[in-house]
Amino acid sequence: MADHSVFAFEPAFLARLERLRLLTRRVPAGGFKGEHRASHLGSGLEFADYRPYVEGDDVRHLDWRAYLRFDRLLLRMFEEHGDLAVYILLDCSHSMAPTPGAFGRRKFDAARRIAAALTYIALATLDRVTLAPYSGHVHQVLGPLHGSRQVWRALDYLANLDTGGETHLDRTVREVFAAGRRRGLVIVISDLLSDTTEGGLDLLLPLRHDVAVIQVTDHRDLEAPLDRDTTLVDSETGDSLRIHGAPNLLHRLEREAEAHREEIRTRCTARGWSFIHAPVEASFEELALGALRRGLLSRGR
Amino acid sequence: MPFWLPLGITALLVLAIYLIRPTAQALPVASTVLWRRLLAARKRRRDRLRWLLSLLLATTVAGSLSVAASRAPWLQPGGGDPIALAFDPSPTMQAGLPAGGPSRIELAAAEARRIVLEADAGSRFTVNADPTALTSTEVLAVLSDPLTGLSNGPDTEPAIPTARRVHVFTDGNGPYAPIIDPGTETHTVSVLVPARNAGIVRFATRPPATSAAGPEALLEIVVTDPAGGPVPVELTVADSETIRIRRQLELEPRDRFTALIDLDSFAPGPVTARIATPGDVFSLDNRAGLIDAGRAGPASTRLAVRHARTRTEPGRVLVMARSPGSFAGSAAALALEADASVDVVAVRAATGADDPPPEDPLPVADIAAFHRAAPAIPPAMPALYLDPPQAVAAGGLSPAAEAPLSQRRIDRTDASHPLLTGVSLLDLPVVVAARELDSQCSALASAGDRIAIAVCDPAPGSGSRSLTVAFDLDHSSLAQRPDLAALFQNAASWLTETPAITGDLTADTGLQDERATRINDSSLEPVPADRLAELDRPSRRPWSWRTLALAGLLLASFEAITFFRGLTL
Repeated sequence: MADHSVFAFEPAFLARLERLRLLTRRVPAGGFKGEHRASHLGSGLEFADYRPYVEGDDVRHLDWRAYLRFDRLLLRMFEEHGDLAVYILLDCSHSMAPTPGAFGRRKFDAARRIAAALTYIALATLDRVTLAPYSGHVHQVLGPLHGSRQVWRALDYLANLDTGGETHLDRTVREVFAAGRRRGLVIVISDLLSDTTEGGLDLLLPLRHDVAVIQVTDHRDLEAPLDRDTTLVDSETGDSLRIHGAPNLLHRLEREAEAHREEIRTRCTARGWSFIHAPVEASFEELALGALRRGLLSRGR
Repeated sequence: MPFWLPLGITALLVLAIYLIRPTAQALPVASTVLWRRLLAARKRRRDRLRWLLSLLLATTVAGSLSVAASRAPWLQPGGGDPIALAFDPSPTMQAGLPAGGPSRIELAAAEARRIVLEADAGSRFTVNADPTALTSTEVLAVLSDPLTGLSNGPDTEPAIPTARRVHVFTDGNGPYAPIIDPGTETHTVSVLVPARNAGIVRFATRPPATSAAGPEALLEIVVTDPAGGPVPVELTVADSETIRIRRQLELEPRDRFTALIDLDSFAPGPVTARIATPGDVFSLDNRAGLIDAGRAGPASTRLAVRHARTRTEPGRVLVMARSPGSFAGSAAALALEADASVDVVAVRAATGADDPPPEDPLPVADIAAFHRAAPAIPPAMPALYLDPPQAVAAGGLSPAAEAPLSQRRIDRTDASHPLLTGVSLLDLPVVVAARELDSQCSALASAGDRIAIAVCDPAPGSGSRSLTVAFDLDHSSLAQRPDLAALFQNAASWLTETPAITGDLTADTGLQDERATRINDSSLEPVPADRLAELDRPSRRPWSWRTLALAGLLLASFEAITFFRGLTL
């Protein structure tokens, strides 16, 4: 059942989104026209630089005024603009919504909102968006979508998603990129509470994509009544873990979660990737501000 | 209380502690990844804690071993004085029990083990004269092999180290009287078990009755049997070639069988006498031998038999002393002054072979006595050497012996030797050094494995006779007894006489101690039969309630820690 209430974006919010665009540092723009500068100079509209003329260059790009001033044949170079391939891997495993009810879906709803906002930004800037929700395997992949008219299709798709199963990011990466997709920006939206997270991220490295990892967290995951012995049951795997109640255990758990997050952040930073922590309590403005700081988004066109 | 009862109660308590633990509540969580990481980190901390505890435990163990090895006095509860265990070293302790049972020394070791196990925890023990304080474990190890662990010190009069209690293990056979601090609590543990024994108490040559007769050997056998009735004894006497005599005897207990054996019919060389008795428990006295030196080989020369003459005038004694001043007032000097049969003609300083000869001529004397009042090098032995006067003129006296000292009692003598005529030395306490005899000397009296008096009688023309009183006269009662004067008289005659046949018959293996054969002669009460029946039953120290309570407390503490702190591994 579609849940469009998650995406009840205000018009002002949408206007703010339209002023943003996705950034990538090392992925070349594609052949379709877009708003991303290509890494090579070509026949665009924005002047970039001069270079000496060599035999075989297009004489139409010769700058005759420069020839008159410097008595040298110089070729004018223009920046070429193209589209960006954006792959959004959305974690739909059971850990994103471990308990039924409004509070139990906070992480999943937040993740879908982030995915919807990023899709809106990408389509508005004529990028090509592929939505790949995953858990134990990849669900039906939507896209690539191109053009702002595809926004409602994407939102409808996201609204119909549901959670379930275990998280296997490694298997997901293999399935999504097995067909040799274009290099682009891969955005992983997940709570990263899986042993397969690091393995999946490692698989992205040889594919030479630009990667942004967005970790969605809920502080309720770190709360548990531990006044006596407790058997913890994993919502994904069903495994049980015996915990002997002890003071400061939850405090230590928070420190362990922070340490886990820092490990992944360090791993991403070392590879030149972006890592963004997105608590469910944070607004999209706060999230966008963090994304701006980390170079995932930029203002203006 | 049987052993299994407290063990079962403890096991039930442990089971109950586990059963009353509350069941764990089930709590679904998004993922257990972070929890597993947290537990892994806690396990690393626990491993570090375990490592520290192991280090602490190892340090404690090493420290305990060091303290135990150093036998720190503060480890000994009750003031530190040990319990002394003194074992009678006399040969009769080697006698076995009837019906093939263990020996008396093994019975003594079993009794000692019982005392050790019943002693207070942490008690220390000493064994015989060794002052080393041993733990119960160490002394039990010593007692596990009593034949080697307890028989190394044959001292008949050991000085027992200071102890709060002394247990003396003896069969009462022979005068075993260890030196114990006055006032020390002393318990005598009897290991006397009367049993049948037949033993040779004398096998020695003696002068023939007439000059025409040949040498004879005197053989004496003593039998003891608590059951009474005649004891069958098979006697065999053999020379180096064959058995010459075989006789079946029926002897009544306490009977003394005596036989004179004409040695003319025996081949030259050693003569051995053996007895065999059913149920005999003491084998050490079943064999005796003698060597007739005058008939030792085909090249030997039989010497004419001459009786020692009886002196009518005092023997003249020339005393050579390491320090003439030290001789005055010594035990030897007092003994010689009191003896009318000897006359000290001069006391001169002793000179060695490299010293210039004395200016004054030596007076005429019958005996030259070298008196060592003070040892040159501790623990050298003060001694009295008796030599013919020509030994002094030749520039040398008997060498001074230097050897470890030991307090013993003389337990064997060659009573047939003319030097001991009228001299009784048995049971004389002496401080004696270990010496080695050369081939020309033999033991005239011995104390255990030590030679107390040695007599040297070389072949004619190869040297002169000499006599060494090889123990401390100042610490012996011999100087106060008439035996010393008699010994001097005999020495004066023997040193100046032509060798007689009595001197040729050196009975080196014929030294017999009659006490050793009377294994049942004791004033102690025999060991009860029920005690003997418990001998093979292993003794076990029961667990005390204090030990059980401590173990339970430790277990409960461990459970409490694991339960409340979640340290269960």
